[in-house]
Amino acid sequence: MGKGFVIAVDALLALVILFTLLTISLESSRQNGIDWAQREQLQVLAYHAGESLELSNTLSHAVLSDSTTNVRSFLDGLPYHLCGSVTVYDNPSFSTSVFSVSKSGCATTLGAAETVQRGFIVASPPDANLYVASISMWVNENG
Amino acid sequence: MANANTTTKGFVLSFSLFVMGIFLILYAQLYAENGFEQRMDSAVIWEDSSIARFALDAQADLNRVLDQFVSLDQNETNGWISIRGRLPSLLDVEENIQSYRDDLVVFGRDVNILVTMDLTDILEDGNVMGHADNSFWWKEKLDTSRIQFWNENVLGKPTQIDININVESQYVDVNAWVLDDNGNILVNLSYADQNTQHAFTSSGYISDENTVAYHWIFDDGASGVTLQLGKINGINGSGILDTNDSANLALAYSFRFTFDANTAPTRLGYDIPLSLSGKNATMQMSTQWVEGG
Repeated sequence: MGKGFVIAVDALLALVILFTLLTISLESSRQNGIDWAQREQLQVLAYHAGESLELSNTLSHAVLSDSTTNVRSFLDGLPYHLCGSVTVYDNPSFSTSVFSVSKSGCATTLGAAETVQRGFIVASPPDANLYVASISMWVNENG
Repeated sequence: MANANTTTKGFVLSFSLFVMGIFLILYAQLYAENGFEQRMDSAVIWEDSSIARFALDAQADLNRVLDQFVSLDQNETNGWISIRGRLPSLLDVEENIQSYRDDLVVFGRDVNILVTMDLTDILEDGNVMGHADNSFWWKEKLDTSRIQFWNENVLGKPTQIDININVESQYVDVNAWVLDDNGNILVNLSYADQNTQHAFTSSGYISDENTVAYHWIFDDGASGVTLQLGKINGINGSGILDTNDSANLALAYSFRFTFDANTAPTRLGYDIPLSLSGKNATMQMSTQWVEGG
């Protein structure tokens, strides 16, 4: 019985050591430091969001009509785990914001947000002026 | 003896387990580093390609700045170029294209891209030119009083031209063209102005080697509106829509050119030289492909 007890303790100790080593290995294999994949994914999403908003004339319409309904509707249509915001400036120097819209229910602290800028034209005869949209995407940290 | 064997076996098993564990940790570290570097490289490449995205962004703006909309369409048997706009434009195109150039430089600076948009030739010539990759060309005066088109490929002329003209006035006299049953380009003209009685359509053939013209005269005392098709400036299969600098006249137009599949275009754009210099890449483009680019 004594021998059996020693063997059992020895086996338990071995298993503890084994699982400790496995845990260390798995933690090491995870990405640490900067999450480059997530950064790139968020930048790509922000870029395509800006492209969609411009080519559908949603941004120029929002400026001309002074209504951000369609922009907010676009942002609210993003997947649950994704947050976004759009800020539009009336000049390429980013000095004067025309409007800023964020997805409903998203945390206001951006954390690791990725931002891209996109220029678009607003035609108000006789002028056609360059506005700049700053589109940010981040992971929804709520729930 | 039996005890010694058991102890030895136990030691060997434990040591093997220890070595295996060390191996797992080292392998995991190597895997993590390799994956980390790949993901970092991918992110760096995305950032370095920012000038390409900037160029696409600028190309998307040009139709609106120039107040002219061009598009491509294609199926198995035909390809189409559509151009629509207004003569004169409600926008001050000459002023706006210069402002856009200046604003683009500032925008580029803010995103770390050196931008040069060369408008020298356009401002000197007084025309904005564009072309498709099947040698179809068009040009519009900066004061948006006239638009011309032609094809530099003898074999690449359109087989059909559909034209819509809607004038914000009403003519007092009109000189209709004479079509040619033996012609080689089918033309469909649809005209309307503020007098509903004036609306008409004219369909038939023209010869690309001869010139036909429709001329509308309005009561503003100016020269009226002229639509010429055929051989213009020595080039067969050309066309001009001209308001002849009428001060109080405005019209909306659209042209749709049909090409055979073997001469159909795959992209078209404006000849506005644009040079971009980013962190690790440079782009120089003499044509901004706004469709099919």
